[in-house]
Amino acid sequence: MTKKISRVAGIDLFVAARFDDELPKTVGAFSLKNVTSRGTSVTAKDTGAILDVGWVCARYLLAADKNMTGGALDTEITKLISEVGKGREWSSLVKLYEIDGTKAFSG
Amino acid sequence: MAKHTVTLIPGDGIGPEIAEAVQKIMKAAGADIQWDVAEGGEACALAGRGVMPEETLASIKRNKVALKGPTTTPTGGGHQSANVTLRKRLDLYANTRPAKNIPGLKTRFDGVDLIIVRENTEDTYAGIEHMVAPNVAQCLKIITWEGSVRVAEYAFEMSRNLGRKRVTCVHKANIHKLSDGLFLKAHEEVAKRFSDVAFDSIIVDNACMQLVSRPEQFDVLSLPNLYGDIVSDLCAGLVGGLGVAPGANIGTTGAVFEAVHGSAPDIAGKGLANPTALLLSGVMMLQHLKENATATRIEKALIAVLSEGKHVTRDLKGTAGTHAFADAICAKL
Repeated sequence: MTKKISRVAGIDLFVAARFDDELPKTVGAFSLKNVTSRGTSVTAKDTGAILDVGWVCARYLLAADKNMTGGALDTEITKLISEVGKGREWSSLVKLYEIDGTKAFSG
Repeated sequence: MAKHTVTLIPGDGIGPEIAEAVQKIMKAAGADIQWDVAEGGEACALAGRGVMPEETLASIKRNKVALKGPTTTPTGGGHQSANVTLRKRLDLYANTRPAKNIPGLKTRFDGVDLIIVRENTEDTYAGIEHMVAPNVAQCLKIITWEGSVRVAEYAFEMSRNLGRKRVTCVHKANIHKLSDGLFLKAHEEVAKRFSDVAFDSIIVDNACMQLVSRPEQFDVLSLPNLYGDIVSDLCAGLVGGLGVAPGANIGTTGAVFEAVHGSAPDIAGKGLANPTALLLSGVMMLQHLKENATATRIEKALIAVLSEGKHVTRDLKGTAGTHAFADAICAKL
């Protein structure tokens, strides 16, 4: 296969946070696109209350015309983790790629 | 005023005619139901009202129970499927599929009478996928304690209501120690609260082997989403396929009962369709409404007609039309 990573489009940052936590809307070059439960939002059987299990996926994207690599990208990611991580635990991070110009991540 | 008000979504293709047949049988059986007919499916999507209009969703939330005929999702135009819409909007967290031998439908196995309870919201179906390198795909499997407990509770409560003897948790916790391990632990904890229902567990590959060699040993199986998707179709295959398979989707704001088969547009409107799957879904619905006696009467009448074989539909090698089949069942009630 000769596919190539075209660019880093953003970051999925998995955070120990509730839905009503105010996550930063922009950090450096990243903007918050959405916060999703992705299977970790459960409605209580008897009361109908949402059981927010306290782990969300925060999707931060770079502007479409931004193609950052290497040290510059790592600096932005470090800023993102530091800012989102203030008073919170982040558990994992996944880079969102475009491969051969096509989005290579779900959602 | 009727005892129960139920949303009825006739759906597409053969949906309206099999829904009508089921209504006739339910009335003859004395089911005290007022039907709140609502639209959904291809016809209303193409008319611009969406595949599952807000009015229909509101009806289901109001009535808490729906009986749904098969629906078709129009291709192109970005239409979301009716079933996906229902699942997300109503948080339908447990998908239930009985697999029971149908008289008159010869299959390789006898004595099959089991129920699959499939967790419907988590697991790899949470839909989190990334290409972490051009040739490397990653998919996250999400299992939560809360999600596992609520489906376990449903499996045990349903078993108690129906007089079932045993719940078996199906898993692969020897490999997926944390995720499937969590699912299994949740079942073990819930089992402690149901001393009248036995509990055991089985690894999924062994479960499949046992199902195709001695399926009669199983009673109620509770599975995470992915294994449940696969094993429920396997179990339908044990008893004759998806054509006569009923199903239920249980949520916190409502329950939707529907046949697993499609809308069969090639025979729509010709009076040929077999309403068995939708009728059995209606039987599940009555059990959910704790109308077990009426449910049993309908099921016995259906089995009697199928066993006799004189008034069955074309797919069961008979010559009866939809309504002649329904009339025969009514006569047996």
